Amino acid sequence: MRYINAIYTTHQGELVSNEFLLPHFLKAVEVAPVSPEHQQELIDSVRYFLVGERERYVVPGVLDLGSFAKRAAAFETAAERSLEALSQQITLATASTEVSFDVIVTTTSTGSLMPGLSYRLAARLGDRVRSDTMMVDLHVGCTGSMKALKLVGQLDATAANCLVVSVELPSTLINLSSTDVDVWQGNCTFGDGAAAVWLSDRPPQGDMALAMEQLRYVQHARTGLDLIRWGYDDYYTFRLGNENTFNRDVREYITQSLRGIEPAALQSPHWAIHPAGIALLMRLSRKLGMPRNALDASVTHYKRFSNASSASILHILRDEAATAVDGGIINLLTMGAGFNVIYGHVRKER
Amino acid sequence: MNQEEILSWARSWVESNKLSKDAGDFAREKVSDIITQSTDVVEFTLDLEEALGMEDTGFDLDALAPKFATLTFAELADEIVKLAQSRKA
Repeated sequence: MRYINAIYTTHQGELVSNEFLLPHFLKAVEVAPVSPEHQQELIDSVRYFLVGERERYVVPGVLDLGSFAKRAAAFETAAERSLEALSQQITLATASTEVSFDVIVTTTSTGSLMPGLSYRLAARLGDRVRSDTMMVDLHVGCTGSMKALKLVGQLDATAANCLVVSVELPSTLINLSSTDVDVWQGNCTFGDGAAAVWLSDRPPQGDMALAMEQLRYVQHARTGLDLIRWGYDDYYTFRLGNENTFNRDVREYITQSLRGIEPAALQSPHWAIHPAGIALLMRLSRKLGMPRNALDASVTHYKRFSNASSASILHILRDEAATAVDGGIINLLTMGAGFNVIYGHVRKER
Repeated sequence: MNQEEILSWARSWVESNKLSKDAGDFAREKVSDIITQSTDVVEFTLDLEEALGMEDTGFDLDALAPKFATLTFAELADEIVKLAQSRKA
């Protein structure tokens, strides 16, 4: 059995609200070279996507990133700051131990570095990392952190202490010149965040012991490949295959993937759900008959940090672990490009 | 439901969720001026679909949600009636 012994989190950059972004985004769409009808659609969509009080962290100068070089540099700078913050927490937590990590698996969907995140983290961890530590850098999407947990969970006993790290900086993708509704949905939905998880086979280590009892992975590549994918302008852009049917398609894939789950498991009040979008989550929870408070942690996170891709579910899990009782189950659910759905649960032992 | 019934339902929903302003013509209020939080927008949409018997039909009101910023409650009720009629046709 693998246990989650600690979850470290960080946010870097500037905290901005919907209220701050709205006039800037509206100014951008009001000069878009499109028909009046299309422009009204963009205006209505931006207002809808930014409705209510919500915040997110963004890289400095986020509204002035106009080139590949600027965006990639902003990603690298913010990634390094995130890794510095996480490494300080990891180093402090393992200070009086002889722990060295056998495996480091990182994930990011919003940039590409060489050397990768794992090497940059290793360079900061001193003797917590050895020359034979396995270091792997994944490029996935919103399901990246759960995939990394699943991967680590399947390693053999030589992987006694492992780190799974998610660094997501989707604010570097914000594109003010787009005339596509789905790109603006991405502009409005995402925020930056990072987290690291210490896993081991020893419950007494670290701050907590969450037994990773189940992680079920369902991929729908044959039919769901085009649901979410990159588009390209001066950098990557978030694109949907069909924005009119997206929510319905995603609900269907998730519902299919959760068939066979014990109804009693769905009734747990503790859920860490990737905040893919509040409308999607709320529809899903009604369809699955989940308790009303099952979404509270995800909604709270979404309002404070927006959708921070694969980092979000780790933040939410940490929050849920703080309030769950010993012996209690915390359900995990995430979904993302591929199309992938990952469902599972951990049991809090302490 | 017809337009009046949808409007009446919306007024009740707003009042029971304690979102109503004290004065004014409800029908002429913009939806987004009364329902201001994203979670409330979704709850309103989902509850309305249930009231209209739309759940599990494969059709939902998500497409109308972006228009809440510009539609009044009366205009929203009109749009829903038109949508429902076009579905039957």
